[in-house]
Amino acid sequence: MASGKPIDVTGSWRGRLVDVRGFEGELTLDLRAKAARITGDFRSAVGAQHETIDRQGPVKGTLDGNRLSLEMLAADGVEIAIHGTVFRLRAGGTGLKAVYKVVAAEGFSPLHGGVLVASHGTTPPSQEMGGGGGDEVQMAARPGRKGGRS
Amino acid sequence: MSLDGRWEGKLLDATGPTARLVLDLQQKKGELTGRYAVTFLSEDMTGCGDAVDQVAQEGEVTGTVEGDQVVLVQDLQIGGKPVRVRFECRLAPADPHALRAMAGCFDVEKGGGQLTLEGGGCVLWLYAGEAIPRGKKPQRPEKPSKPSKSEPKPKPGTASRRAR
Repeated sequence: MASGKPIDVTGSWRGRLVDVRGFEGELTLDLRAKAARITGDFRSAVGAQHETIDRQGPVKGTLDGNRLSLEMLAADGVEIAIHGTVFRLRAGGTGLKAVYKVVAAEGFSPLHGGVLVASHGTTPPSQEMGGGGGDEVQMAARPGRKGGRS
Repeated sequence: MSLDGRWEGKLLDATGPTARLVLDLQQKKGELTGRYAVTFLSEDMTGCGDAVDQVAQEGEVTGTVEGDQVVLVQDLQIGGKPVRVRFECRLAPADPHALRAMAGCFDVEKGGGQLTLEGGGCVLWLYAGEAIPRGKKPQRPEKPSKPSKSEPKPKPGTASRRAR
């Protein structure tokens, strides 16, 4: 049922990650696509059970068919490479499943590598028939519950 | 190092659900066999607010390992229709959290409409207490011990009389 139309990744993506070292976190990607070239920004919050480590910075990458490759460079010098696949979700919107790896870290990073998922353009639960919830924007995303260090 | 043992971890689907995954794996050279159980974590479900986490699905997997690349395939039938889920991952050190990890993405290759899941990522860990040394068989659960023959079985109602 996949459409031949290329998937547009422009927009805000919200998702989660799990690291092989046991850490979990939330991720927001604001992407802009111009042909195969991707630019944008990211924000992440890792370690909700302990003191959250917040990071943000620019993103750049490429989209080749449905293969998405991104590099995120945080302000503290941590560089993360993401390689994944974008695909259309049955209920509308687009999903991303990917593996990531910390490729460089000038300072401390609890992360080593792991998996992340995100979605973009999904229907908010409050707009679904009989849906509850209030401010939840996307099922795949949960806004940061704790105000972490900036 | 053998992949034999119980791997436990977390599965994230791009549509939102999160699940706990337990995988009992056995390796014979490059071939893998095992059994898995998936439990959706209730906090991510919008159904019953106080539902207890229940095993949603369990079954068998087969796969291969080559170097640090692992491929696991689950073939099952739902509603009489074949469903196939494929998990491609890479082995990685996971210390100090665990002995080893395998992390990668899964895809519903066939029968996608039968599953809630549509594709996502999964990390599984092999903890120190769950690894099985090569050449040893998995331990079976202990059977409950039978009462000793020297101890007389209490007659119904006698215990309460003695307590008075």
